[in-house]
Amino acid sequence: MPKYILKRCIIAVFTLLVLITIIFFLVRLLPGDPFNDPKVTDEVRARLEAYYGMDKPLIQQYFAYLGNLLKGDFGVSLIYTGRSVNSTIAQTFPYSADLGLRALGLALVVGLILGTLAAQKAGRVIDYVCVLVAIIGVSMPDFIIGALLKLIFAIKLRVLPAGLWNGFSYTILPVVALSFYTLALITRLMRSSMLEVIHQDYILTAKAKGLSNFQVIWRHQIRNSILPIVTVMGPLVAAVLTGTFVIESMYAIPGMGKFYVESVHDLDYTMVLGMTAFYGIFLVSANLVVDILYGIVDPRIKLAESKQKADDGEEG
Amino acid sequence: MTETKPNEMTGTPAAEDALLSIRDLHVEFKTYGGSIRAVRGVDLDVAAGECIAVVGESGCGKSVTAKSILQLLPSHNSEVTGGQIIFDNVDLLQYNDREMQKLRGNKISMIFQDPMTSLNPTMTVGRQIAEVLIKHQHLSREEARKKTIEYLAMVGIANPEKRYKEYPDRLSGGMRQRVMIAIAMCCNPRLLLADEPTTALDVTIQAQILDLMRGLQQQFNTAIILITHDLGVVANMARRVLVFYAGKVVEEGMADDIFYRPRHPYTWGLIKSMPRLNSEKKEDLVSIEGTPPDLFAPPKGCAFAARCDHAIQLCLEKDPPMFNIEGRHCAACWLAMENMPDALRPAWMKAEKVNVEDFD
Amino acid sequence: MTETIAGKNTPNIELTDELLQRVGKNTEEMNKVVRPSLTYWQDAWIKLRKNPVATLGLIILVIYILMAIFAPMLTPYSYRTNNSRAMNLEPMQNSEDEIAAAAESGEKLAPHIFGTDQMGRDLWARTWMGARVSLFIGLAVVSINTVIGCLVGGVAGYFGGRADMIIMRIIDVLYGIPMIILAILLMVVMGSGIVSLIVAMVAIGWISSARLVRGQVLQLKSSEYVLAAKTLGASDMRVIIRHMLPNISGILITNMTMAIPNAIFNEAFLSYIGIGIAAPMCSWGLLARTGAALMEIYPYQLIIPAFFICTTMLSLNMLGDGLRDALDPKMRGKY
Repeated sequence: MPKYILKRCIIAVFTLLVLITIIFFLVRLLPGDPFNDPKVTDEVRARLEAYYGMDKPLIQQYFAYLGNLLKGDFGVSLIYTGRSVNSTIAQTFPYSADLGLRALGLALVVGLILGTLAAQKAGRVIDYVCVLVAIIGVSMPDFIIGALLKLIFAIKLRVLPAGLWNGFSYTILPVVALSFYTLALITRLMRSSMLEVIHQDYILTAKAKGLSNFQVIWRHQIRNSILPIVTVMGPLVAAVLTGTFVIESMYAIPGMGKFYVESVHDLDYTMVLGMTAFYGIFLVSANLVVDILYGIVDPRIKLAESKQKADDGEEG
Repeated sequence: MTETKPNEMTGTPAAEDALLSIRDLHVEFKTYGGSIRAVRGVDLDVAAGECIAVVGESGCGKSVTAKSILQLLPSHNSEVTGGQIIFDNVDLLQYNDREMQKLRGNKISMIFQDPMTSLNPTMTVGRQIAEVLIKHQHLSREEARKKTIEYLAMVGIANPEKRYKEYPDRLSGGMRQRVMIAIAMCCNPRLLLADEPTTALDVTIQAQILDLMRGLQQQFNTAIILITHDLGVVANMARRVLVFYAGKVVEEGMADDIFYRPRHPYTWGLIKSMPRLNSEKKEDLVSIEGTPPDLFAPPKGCAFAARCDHAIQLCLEKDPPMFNIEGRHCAACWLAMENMPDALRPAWMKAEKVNVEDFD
Repeated sequence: MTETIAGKNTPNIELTDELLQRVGKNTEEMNKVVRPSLTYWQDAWIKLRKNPVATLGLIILVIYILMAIFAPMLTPYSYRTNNSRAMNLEPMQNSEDEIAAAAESGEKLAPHIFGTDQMGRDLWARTWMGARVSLFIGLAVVSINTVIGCLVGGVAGYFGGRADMIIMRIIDVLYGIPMIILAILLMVVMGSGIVSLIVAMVAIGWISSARLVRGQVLQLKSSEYVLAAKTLGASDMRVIIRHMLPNISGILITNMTMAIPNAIFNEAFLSYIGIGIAAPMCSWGLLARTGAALMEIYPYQLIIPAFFICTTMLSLNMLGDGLRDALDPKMRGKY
């Protein structure tokens, strides 16, 4: 187990290093040298040069940048005087985290239930309904579902607010819109994973024991079929996160995603790069946590380790 | 069933002393091209405490018959299309799901072929046994744990307290099959269905598992239906043997009848294909040429006719019924019919006690 | 039968000489296979055709592809011509100015089937031009990814050893980089455009196909039949072409079909946040973006591109599901 965790950590560190290196060299490649744009105020330019160490050789600049990131300093805005990436993240990230966690939670709960239901009733009407919901869900980009929900419920029917983040009723549309794709994906995955488990021999054994259908499903099927879902949690977190870019812009939620898209539009390069570095670190860490969680949840990984131990003569 | 039932004249009522009587069982599997008639009119009786063996090639319907007793066939593509399964004077085919659940693992239990995949990999072996006790005997968790450990010891697992907490991956194939036996036996079932219980195991382990099953059978007076393709296993365990071919019983009798006085060419083929240590001639193993018919569209006559050296025209045209030979010994072969000209019968069929080396 | 006494159950059959004729073994009959024997691809094709959902997906896709090729040629309107006198027209309408002009010149006036956008550009022409761009990008990205993936994954899986170890370490590291984040970065730096989009999506996208191919190759390499082929002296080339490719291709095709909607989605997403395709060029994502901005007044400008994005992705997913069921050897013979 420790060996497995260590391996995942080393890979994550390398991943981050590669990502940061790419970001650094992309800064150098920016078209038309935006640092010398006349719109950039002198004060900002001074802070930029301090941050990136423009006067030093490239390799020193690289390590200076790495050092800054290690200290948790993501840089400053190219356009707005006195605005740092850090303060922006501190202000906006809580909204995004709130939105993202709600959406992920909704997607997990509903997705797992629908997937289980579909697999249990495979080939019946309920299955077809769940499969239909799932396939529509994965075919509807969040910007479309978000726009349509807003059009129907906020603009035409006027039953829910069309924007901002001021209480529960404000959360409904964006959370539903953001979770829809993930929910559909989890439904599909859970369904296929459970269908595979259903055909395993040990399920027949469980039935031959005389367990009720509920006991067979709950004790023997769900646990084993949830494991593959855990492996895709990393990409799912990434999907929800990128979804916040669109959903927050659409519903005027003052989150990091909305700000990120605005910075992209304003060509606030240093802001974009700084926030990208933050997103990158966040997602790589999320992936790492998921990997480690998976190692803990799946006894087969533990077993592989303990078997090794047993083979090494420490046991049995 | 459009087909005439050739064995309707032998369709006797359930035997008085039978614990389980299967009568004229038909099972079909649906595929997208049509249906496969996996079991085509099987009759089978087991008395309380008796051990019978069901032998035959893979795909001959022996596993399907066993699974249909417990209604464990997948409901989406298989169907029992006819017959009765009478256990303790009740037709199990009339039971609903809830009633079946009370029976499974309790009065009738089952062991499967592959112990490597038959245990849940994410649950400790102890819990997998204990859940049966909790379900059927309504024990508390603690009582179930104690009893599970007793059973683990009884099936010959050393250090049962420690094994209780282990996952199946840590156990060898033989150990796992012992766990499966503990699961099957822990409610003292009246009937045990053992579906190729030793096929996936090493030969040395096979004997141990058979010994264990025999011991438990005597201890609890459990009837066993032992499904196997290995005649060696049969000789060790069963008093009575049923030979299956293409979804039907083709010969039935006491073990001695089957081994020494076979009356069906398929049974004879099985016996000849058994490896023998004491054979003086160093000859090749004899196999039965060809493959069983596709049950997608079974032949009109005897299903074995195409592979049979002794087939006559009649075999191609009409499926033979079960002919009684002597006592409980019956065979579904036209050549076993009483008024069949003796000249058509091969020498082994006429012999009082056959010895494989004397023929061919 | 247990109750019957010997000899009592003799059926009433007249044993004629003909019936007693010895026939013996019938070698042909005993190995007869009644079920129709089909090749892998025949079997897959039958299954696919029997699957109405997948067939529907295939039909919709074919229609869209044909429309993307021909529709822009068959409309008198250009996707890029602004017309300040025909702005934001509802579908199937023409502006009064256009009608007057047509009456004057005596030409037959073509309706704006999907209406016009806020610059007066014909949305029918833009929608199918957008289809070209979106479908092309989807197909191009996935094809390039698959080719790179096959090469890298194939080399790693087939030759194994050091090459495999190095490639796998690199893939492990790169796999963790969030694809969409990197794509956004690259787009910011490279600027919008079709080529930038393809490059940005291929940059990380090839990794999952490489992993897939490697996994498949490794599995096949250790399979008995490949071992048998090698034992019989087949060359690497022959093993790869005769044994590996046919067995991987099913999974690869399924995977490609499932990856195209992802690529289309990513293109739409990048265009939607404003860094994918720039006007006057258009893609479905860009159309949805402009439509969403005006959806309170002109909802059709959002609904039309949304409909095409969703139905295309839906068709590809339906086809992909059907292909997976039809091509997956594990599923063969089921149903």
